[in-house]
Amino acid sequence: MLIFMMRMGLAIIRLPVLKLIRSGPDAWIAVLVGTAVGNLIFWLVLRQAAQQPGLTLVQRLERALGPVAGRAVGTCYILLFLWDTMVTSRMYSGLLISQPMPETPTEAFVFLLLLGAAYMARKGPEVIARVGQFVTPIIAGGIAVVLFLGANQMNPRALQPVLGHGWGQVLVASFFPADVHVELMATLMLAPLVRSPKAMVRAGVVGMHVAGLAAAGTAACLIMFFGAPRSQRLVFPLYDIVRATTFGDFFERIDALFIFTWTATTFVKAALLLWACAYGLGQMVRVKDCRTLIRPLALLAGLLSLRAYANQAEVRALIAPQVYTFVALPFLVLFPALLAIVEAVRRPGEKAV
Amino acid sequence: MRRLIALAAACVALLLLAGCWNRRELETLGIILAAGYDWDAEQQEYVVTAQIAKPQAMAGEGAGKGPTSHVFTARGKTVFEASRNLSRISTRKMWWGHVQVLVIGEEAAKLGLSGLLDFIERDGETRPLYFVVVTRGLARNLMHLRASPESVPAMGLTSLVKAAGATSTAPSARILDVSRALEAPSAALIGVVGVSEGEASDIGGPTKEFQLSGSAVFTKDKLVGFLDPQETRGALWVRSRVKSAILTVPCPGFPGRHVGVEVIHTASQIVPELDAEGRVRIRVSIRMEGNLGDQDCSFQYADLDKIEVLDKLVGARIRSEVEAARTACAKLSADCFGATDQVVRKFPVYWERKQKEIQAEGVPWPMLVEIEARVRGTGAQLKPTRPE
Repeated sequence: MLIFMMRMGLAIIRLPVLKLIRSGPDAWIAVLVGTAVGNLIFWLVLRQAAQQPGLTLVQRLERALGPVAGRAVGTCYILLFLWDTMVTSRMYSGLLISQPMPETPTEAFVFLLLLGAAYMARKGPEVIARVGQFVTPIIAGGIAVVLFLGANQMNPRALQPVLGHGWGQVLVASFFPADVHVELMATLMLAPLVRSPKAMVRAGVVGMHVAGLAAAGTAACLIMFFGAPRSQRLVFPLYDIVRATTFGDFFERIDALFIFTWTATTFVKAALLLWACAYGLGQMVRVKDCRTLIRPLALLAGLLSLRAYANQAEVRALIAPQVYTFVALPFLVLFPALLAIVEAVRRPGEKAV
Repeated sequence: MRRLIALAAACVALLLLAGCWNRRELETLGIILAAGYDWDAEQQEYVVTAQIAKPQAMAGEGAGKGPTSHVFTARGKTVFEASRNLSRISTRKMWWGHVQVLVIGEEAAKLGLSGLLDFIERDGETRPLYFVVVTRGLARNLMHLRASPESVPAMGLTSLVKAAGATSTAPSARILDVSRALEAPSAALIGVVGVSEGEASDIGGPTKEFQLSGSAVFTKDKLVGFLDPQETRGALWVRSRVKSAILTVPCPGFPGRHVGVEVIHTASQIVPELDAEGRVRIRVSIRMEGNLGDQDCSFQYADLDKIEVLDKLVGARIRSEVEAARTACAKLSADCFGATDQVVRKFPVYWERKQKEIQAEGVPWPMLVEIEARVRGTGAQLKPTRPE
């Protein structure tokens, strides 16, 4: 559920891959291929984590790479989670101030989101998971309702030509959605809390696949609804479907449903990221109760998200797949590969000096 | 102590979070129902005209006393500026969320729709669900028209656009459709609204009515010309957008007499093909089913062999409309049929290679039109009412 929520948040509303591909109608195939590759990589990462069931990502790094290198890489992951929290809160406020509530200050949305997320994170991962379990069907239902209502205006021909420019562009574009998989690394902090490592891998795979298929399906729906050129122009294309949806000329203006849906995913995602950040930091600096770190980290994320970017264009430029993918790859591929190699070479139970 | 602080904080929060930041009271809003966009070439400015509803004149004690709408006009260098400038003359804040129909003036249409579409798609208050029509001349003139029988003119115009499918002589389009169509290589068609003189009666002089007929042809985002109602339906046959229509055909053997066939169901398909020389040609197949609606001659259509005569006549009528559209669109160097969109989809590499050449030549695609018209029913009676 949490993996599904993480994937459904920012990625599905922005669907950055739509903007990448010159042959627009094929963007959904790029999402599908990218998801398959990303899922394969993350499955390997999950399997590796399942072999060290009692340890979080930060603990595994410290144990495998030693206190200095391990903590350095662990710090990088914690900064990644913090940075992701910043971007999530800023993008959330970005949608709300650009469309339904333009006069409300950005600060209000950022801090309200982080206040709620910090409250949830302080209650612990069980509460986050329970909330995720509760809101996931609502989110899936909300997106399904939006797409169903927009279905009468979708033109399947907009998906043609299929692979009109061959596989080349699609494969290049499919490389970029790797950026959304890096967010899932936060779930590795939950590993010691999961009763069965096998079940963790299984649940992770199911969550990734369902979310990936949902993302590809949403991309296809957006192209059918707006046409490829226009869907590439939109900042939040899924929200624009909501604005343009009408059913029988009486059921329209369902913005509130969409905002609620997205708020729910964003809260759960921000809470998990904050908790992962605080828990990892707590383990590194040997803080007894990591909950004490959550509020300061939320405040830091809030302040940084407001101060680090002058405007939404800066946020978008930084999280553009062409940039972020290369930031994400070390965290998704390089460090986990290094970890796997060291853990495989080292005898079980042996600790780094 | 902590509980006391939490309680105090909650009480303060109750005061602070009692309502929305962007709250607007209904009575402070001017709800725009129709908007007109014109371009003043002399001043190089957009002219926006808004027709706002006056709810107090529609219901309650004020009903029937005075006009039900009010019209404001403002100017600006961009559409947004002009729209915002309406607030300088209106005591109410203009609200764009409930606009029903947008009327685009001829000059603004020739200048291009991208400025208008950019504003509507970008702004949070607007919706891409507005109906769009073009008018020959100034849009603001239409905003002042008090058409009957609707109490609010904008609603009358909207009803007219919604009902365009009854004759299919004008396309009904929303902003979203226009936006999608303008991105495509083929031309976009938008309905044309004008004013017609109504009948004079004992209670007053001749009234004026909105009249929706024909279409404006856009390539890229610019108006390139107009199609008359028959030409428009000809294009809509190929685009599979004829919802209903009454096709009038001559009654064989009865000069000057006619038969009306109601179109019930239509479907068409555009299939681009490559010929032996590697050139694209378009095969169009149009299928139509209808019922005999009326006749003012005594030809026995209910007979098995006679109904086929009617099928052929209807088929010929459809063909003549398609041909009329082809001729008119060729003069405008516009692909009104959406054939280019299909070529791009079926032969993307060919299109990429030849696009500039084809667009520079402006020659319409060679088109082979196959029509299958079937008159299925004869209504509630078998024989004509007219005696033989």
